[in-house]
Amino acid sequence: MSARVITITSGKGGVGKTTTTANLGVALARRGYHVACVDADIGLRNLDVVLGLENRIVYDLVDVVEGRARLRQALVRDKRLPELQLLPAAQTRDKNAVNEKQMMRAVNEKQMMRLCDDLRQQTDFILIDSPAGIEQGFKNAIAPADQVLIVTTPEMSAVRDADRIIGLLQAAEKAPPQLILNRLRPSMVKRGDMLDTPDVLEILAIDLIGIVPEDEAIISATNNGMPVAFDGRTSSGKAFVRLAQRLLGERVPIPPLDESPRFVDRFAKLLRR
Amino acid sequence: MEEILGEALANPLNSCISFKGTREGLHISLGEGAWQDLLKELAVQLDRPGVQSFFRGARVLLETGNRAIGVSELEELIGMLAERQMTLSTVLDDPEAQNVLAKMQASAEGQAVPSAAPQAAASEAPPAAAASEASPPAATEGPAAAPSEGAPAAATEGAAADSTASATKSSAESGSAAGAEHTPGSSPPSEPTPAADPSAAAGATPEDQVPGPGADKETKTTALPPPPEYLPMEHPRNVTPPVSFDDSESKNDSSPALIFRRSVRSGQTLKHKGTIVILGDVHPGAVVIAEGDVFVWGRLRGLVHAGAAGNNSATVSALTLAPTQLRIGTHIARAPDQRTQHTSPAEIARVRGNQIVLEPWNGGRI
Repeated sequence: MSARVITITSGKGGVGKTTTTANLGVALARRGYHVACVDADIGLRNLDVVLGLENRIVYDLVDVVEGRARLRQALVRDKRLPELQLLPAAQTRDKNAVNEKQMMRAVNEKQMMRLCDDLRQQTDFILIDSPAGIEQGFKNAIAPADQVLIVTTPEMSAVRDADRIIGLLQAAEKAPPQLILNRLRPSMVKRGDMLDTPDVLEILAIDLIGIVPEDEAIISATNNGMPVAFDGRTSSGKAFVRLAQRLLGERVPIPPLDESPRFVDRFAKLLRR
Repeated sequence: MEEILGEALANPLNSCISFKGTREGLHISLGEGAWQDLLKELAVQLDRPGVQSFFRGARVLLETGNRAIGVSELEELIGMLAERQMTLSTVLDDPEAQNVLAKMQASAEGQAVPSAAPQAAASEAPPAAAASEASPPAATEGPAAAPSEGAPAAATEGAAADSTASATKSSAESGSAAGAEHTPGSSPPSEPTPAADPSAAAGATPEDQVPGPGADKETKTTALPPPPEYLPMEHPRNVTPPVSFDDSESKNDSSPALIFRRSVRSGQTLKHKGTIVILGDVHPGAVVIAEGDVFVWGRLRGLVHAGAAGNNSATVSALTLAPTQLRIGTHIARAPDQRTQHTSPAEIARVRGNQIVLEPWNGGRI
């Protein structure tokens, strides 16, 4: 087994990197692939929370890198989905080591590469949840990546940061990244109050791999530690499942924007009866 | 070749002497240090390969940096500059030295060349200053002004120049050649531009606004080597007829064009000493700085500065010209808040009169 390493990054914070990582991990694992989610956001971990695995963490990434634990010990297996494993981030250490002493101890790209090489042997996919920003944490996250997914929301600030990230990836001679447009609100787009997909693509000029609509279910899912991709009935859950299928090379079209037929449509149906 | 530079381009001209191209000429300001050392340093800087030819024919505005300059020192400097075919036109912050210089200039040319005073006034203005921009030297070549601290005279002449057509400006800005670009192929050299004529008031004579003959006359009456009005940053189009085909000066384009074959993205900066050609887009948040022209075969959405060394005759062209901010030479324009639909295949931005204008490309030379 030699895994494909996919890094999920965005530049800007709060656009849904962690949610995307968790859901892609779940969706791929549900298809029977062995997936390891790596939380590279050292110091601000929350992939474990989103996956609902927080209370089972014993060792973390930094412990592995520094030799206090073996990889096998640190990986947390999801009981609901045995194919899914998590390598949690350390909560305690700062992701930007300030002084030299810390720098010596902080994780660097080489260590991250080595870690992923070890992980590759036992999984099909390694999903790395990158921290926000463009500092060392980001560099660590993209260093081992075979493929990079950029998450952005239809806001100018997020798109701008995504553009910056694309430039940095280019400079790092990575393969062209793909774009996930997250938290799109079809109704707002229709009103012309939100950047539409073509607008974003025109600015970023990279391939789109998926659109995830804004969905309240995400919030409750995060709070419950039960990613929406588990049951795949919500609009966002479906979108993540489709996204995973595209990652697997299946040709799944991106469905046209439509607020899931909710109130108005149901009402219309009622009237027609 | 390709230089995406993280932040700023390191200033190659470090040390205590700083150079700045302005619309009045080459602005040299001297820092700390002994006079002889400074002169030596200046010579070294000016003789650097590429620089030498680049500055040839330039007018120099000197900032002495709180230093009193004596006559002998001034002569030394003038001599040194003359060796490099440069002329000292103004001493900015030392009135006495300026007076001495003005006398020297007067005696050298037999006739008063009053360009100094208005330049001094102009140099106080911020680079992008709008209406009150003092008149460019070409407009003040007339007999009226005396080489004194003549701020009022300068101001009125400036106004006169402003009220005349943009021909005045463009001829002044880039030397004799730029006039050609303003009226491409329309008027033969011997004929005064009609637009410039009627309102040409006291100070500025019509001849001066016609680039070709004006420049010729000047050449004949002055003893010093004919000073082109501004930094001779040469561009191929500057040798367009009808002015002249004499492109001896245009050979000194020190840097070849940079061809950049991908998009410039947010946070990236592309800097080059010559012209930049980008085969790709310039994204919002990206910065492109060229001392020559900028051509974008794609969408230009970021910040662009053409003629960054002060060349106001530089142009910016793009298939879609929608920059967040557009700078040409010493001018700055920002995108209108309401974005208009672009219909033409491409657009060109250049300085007309005293502002940056965007024009559709209709074929022909840029």
